Amino acid sequence: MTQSDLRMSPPAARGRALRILVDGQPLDCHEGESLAAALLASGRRFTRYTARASEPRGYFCGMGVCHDCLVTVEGLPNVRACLTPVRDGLRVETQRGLGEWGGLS
Amino acid sequence: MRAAECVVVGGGPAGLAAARTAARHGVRVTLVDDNAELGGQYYRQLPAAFPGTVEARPVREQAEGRRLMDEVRSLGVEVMAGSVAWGIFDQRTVAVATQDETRRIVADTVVLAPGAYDRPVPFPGWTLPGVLTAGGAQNLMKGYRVLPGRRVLVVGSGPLLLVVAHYLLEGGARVVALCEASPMRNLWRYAHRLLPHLNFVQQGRRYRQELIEARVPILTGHVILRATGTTEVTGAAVARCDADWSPIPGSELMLEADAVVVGYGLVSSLELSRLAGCEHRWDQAQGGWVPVRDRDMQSTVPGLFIVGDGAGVAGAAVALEEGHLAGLGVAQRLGRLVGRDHSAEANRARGRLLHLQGFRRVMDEIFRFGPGIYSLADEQTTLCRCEEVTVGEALVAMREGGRHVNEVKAWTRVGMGRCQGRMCGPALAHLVARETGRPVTESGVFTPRPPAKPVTLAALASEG
Amino acid sequence: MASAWDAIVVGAGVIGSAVAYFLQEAGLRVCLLDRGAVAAGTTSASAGHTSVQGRVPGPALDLALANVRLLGELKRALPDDFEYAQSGGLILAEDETEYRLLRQFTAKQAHHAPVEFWEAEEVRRAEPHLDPRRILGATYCALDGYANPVRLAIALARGARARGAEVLPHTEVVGILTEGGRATGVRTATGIHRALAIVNAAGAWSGEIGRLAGVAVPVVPRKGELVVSEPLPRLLRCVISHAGHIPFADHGIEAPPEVEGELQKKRYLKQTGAGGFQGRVYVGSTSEFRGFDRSSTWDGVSQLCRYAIDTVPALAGARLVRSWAGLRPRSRDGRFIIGEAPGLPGFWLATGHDSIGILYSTMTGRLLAQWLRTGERPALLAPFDPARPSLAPAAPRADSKETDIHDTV
Repeated sequence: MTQSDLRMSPPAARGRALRILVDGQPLDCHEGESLAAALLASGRRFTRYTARASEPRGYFCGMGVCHDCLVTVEGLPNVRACLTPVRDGLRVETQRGLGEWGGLS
Repeated sequence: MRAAECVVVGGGPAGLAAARTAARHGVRVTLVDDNAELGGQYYRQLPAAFPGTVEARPVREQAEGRRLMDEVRSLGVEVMAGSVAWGIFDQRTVAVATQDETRRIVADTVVLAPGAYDRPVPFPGWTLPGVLTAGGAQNLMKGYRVLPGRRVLVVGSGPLLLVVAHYLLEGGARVVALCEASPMRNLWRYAHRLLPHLNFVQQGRRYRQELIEARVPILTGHVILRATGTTEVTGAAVARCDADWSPIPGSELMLEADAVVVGYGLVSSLELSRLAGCEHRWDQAQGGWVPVRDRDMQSTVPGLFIVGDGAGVAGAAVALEEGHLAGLGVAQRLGRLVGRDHSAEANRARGRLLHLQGFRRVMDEIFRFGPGIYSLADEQTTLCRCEEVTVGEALVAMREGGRHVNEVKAWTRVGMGRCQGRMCGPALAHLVARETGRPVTESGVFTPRPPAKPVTLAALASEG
Repeated sequence: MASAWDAIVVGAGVIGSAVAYFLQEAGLRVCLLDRGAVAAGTTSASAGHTSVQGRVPGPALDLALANVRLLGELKRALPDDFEYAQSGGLILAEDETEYRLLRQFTAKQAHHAPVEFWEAEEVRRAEPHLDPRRILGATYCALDGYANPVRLAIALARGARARGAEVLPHTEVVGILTEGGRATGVRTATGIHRALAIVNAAGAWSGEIGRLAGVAVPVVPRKGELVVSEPLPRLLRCVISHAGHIPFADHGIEAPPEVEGELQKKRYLKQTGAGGFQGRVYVGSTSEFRGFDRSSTWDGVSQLCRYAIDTVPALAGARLVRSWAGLRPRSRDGRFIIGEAPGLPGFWLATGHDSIGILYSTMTGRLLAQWLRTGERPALLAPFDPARPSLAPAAPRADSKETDIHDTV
């Protein structure tokens, strides 16, 4: 666990180690975690910038209701990070405004 | 289209209890939940991929929930997980969507157990990353064993705050302070009413003791004024408040924090009950609308029952009992339980419910909702998070004739976003009431329209 | 409390607001009333389209083009932005018959309006997210587009107020006053307002207002369902509709009956690109006569979603956020009703705009103002005479028949 790891339990008590890509950078996480949990555990708070005022937004309600934790996953925009389980190699991008089909990469 | 004897919408405590009781009496039940795993919020389980080691030991309610879910499945209840109930047509035809298709289920009886969600309270800085709801913090910690931050401020009202603080401490975070909006004075006056509920009281005292030992400042009669930070939260200002939760000028206190957990109560999810045409009434103590129900938990739509936090926030113990009562009502309506047997069991259930409600009523009084909480927002504060509409823009619409939340919605787009008005609706209703000088019950509600939750066009286009 | 005006406009939707704006601009003292807020009726349910390409050359097309020009003028003149976009409009040919008909149509129409025919390849290049397998070609008109209907009504109402009009929302008209066979004012819950002219711009509810005056106004609600998606990255630039929208017979082109579709078959979709509504795909519509029912139905919602996915496959995974229904004010013969009510001088009608009120609000307002100012009916309003025989009770309803004011939504 690194300094900025906010996980409450050690790796042995979590699922198998996985690696996802966030804005092109690798991020270690565990099977069973939601994308939001994985991002927050690494201290990564925001998932998008809004369309009108380019405000940073992130995890708020944690149950799929507020739709603020939207990210682009595998090129598909507007995915709720709190409801998306991580998968090995998952490509995730911070979303700007409406997002882009196919993501940026 | 298919037929079903009983459709239960919602797989939390209330829905599970209803499904179990109905199934026990021979009713064929279909249980629908939009999450991949049952349990709702209260029975949220650790991920299946997390091994069952001592460190990952589930907490008490997770084990309880697991047992209930296992029993429900063993009774032959058909479980549709990852399925969104998005509409109710013709009183009891439930439209349920998976990713790719919708099934319309013509149900003889329906039990709605949609639960509740955190009351959204706009204040300056509430959209900053790092500001999250109490429910969101709970899901993170209970469901994924992740902390929201290392120096966490907890603000709000109600016993749930103590539970959140407990998990934060357990996870090694520092709780910067716990700000409870209610004054928490003269609690001795409730002593006699709390005597029959010593288990709840003792649990609360244990949590409180834990906070005291960890030297967490507990500030009663305090509300948050604003969260500060540019790209994420770095702190917050709190202040003393009156009994209505309105901040008192001149009492501001700045606190540093890397996360702010906000929990000013819960609001019932009423989208489906409104779509079904059920009548609702205003509950003053809760500060929100609740469906009208009879003593069997039946709504004003015959054969449609509503239970749990989705019918007025009362916690898991009440939810289980209400679910049980509705299950009995379903069984009776379908002829699986004759009148006398139904009455006997229902009376026992109502007796237990009465007992539990005694405790809930005390909680509702101690933590009585204060409408002053809606005065925290200023004109620059975001009111509608989805559409990025400020309080100021909504006020312009009101001053030019918008007297009903739907009129303000048409003018400003408040409530037209993905969350379908859930995050802004309660605050907007209070704003309209304040501006027009009329009671909040006359502000109206957003017209219920399908889909009750956002659903893919593919799912809406195909019937399976 | 009695107050005196030159004109009282009943109904602050897009039509009433436009009428109030232009009357006030013409120097009349105007009071604009509505029982709700501005735009609270059909206007707030509208998709906001402003299409001209299918209009029949002659007075119909002239009027349509004048509306577009006037919208442009208002965009510059009014301080409030109503998110008007000339995005372009595409009418798709999806089989050989439609291809042939649209080519014929373009050949004729191009003499009168900026309409072009695009072959399949050109359509695909311009709109890559349309399912190319279904498209053999399309007609394109650069003048077609859309506006935000609520913002347009608000902009006009505020514009009227800025020029001195009084705007009174939440003021229900409960009676029309008459004296000596003339309309002289209205009664509301709070008092009496007198005026030289009362304008009934109550849209789907103009029959109710007419009844208060003892005047039969043959307008009934025609229900249409719509749905809207969550905000999405760019999928479409133009407003997309289909060959069934063109009244080929009125253009002198013989077409088989199944192409000249029933009102029920008219569908369209578009994605907003302007202003605050960015990125949302609107899909419409349906057509039913069900009184004032505004419920969303399973059939309506699922058919619109099916249509949307068939036309733009990428929409399959997009999520629907809302469904709703609006009540188009449809007259007995499907044409507007603009003029002084026969039998009750002083009581004017500006209604029956069915599905095209957004575009035609502007010229309705300007021409009616001209009429009231000069005392002479403008030539362009001749087809909308309230006294015409096709509005009489005995005349057959034109529920699904095409007329020269064509229905593109």
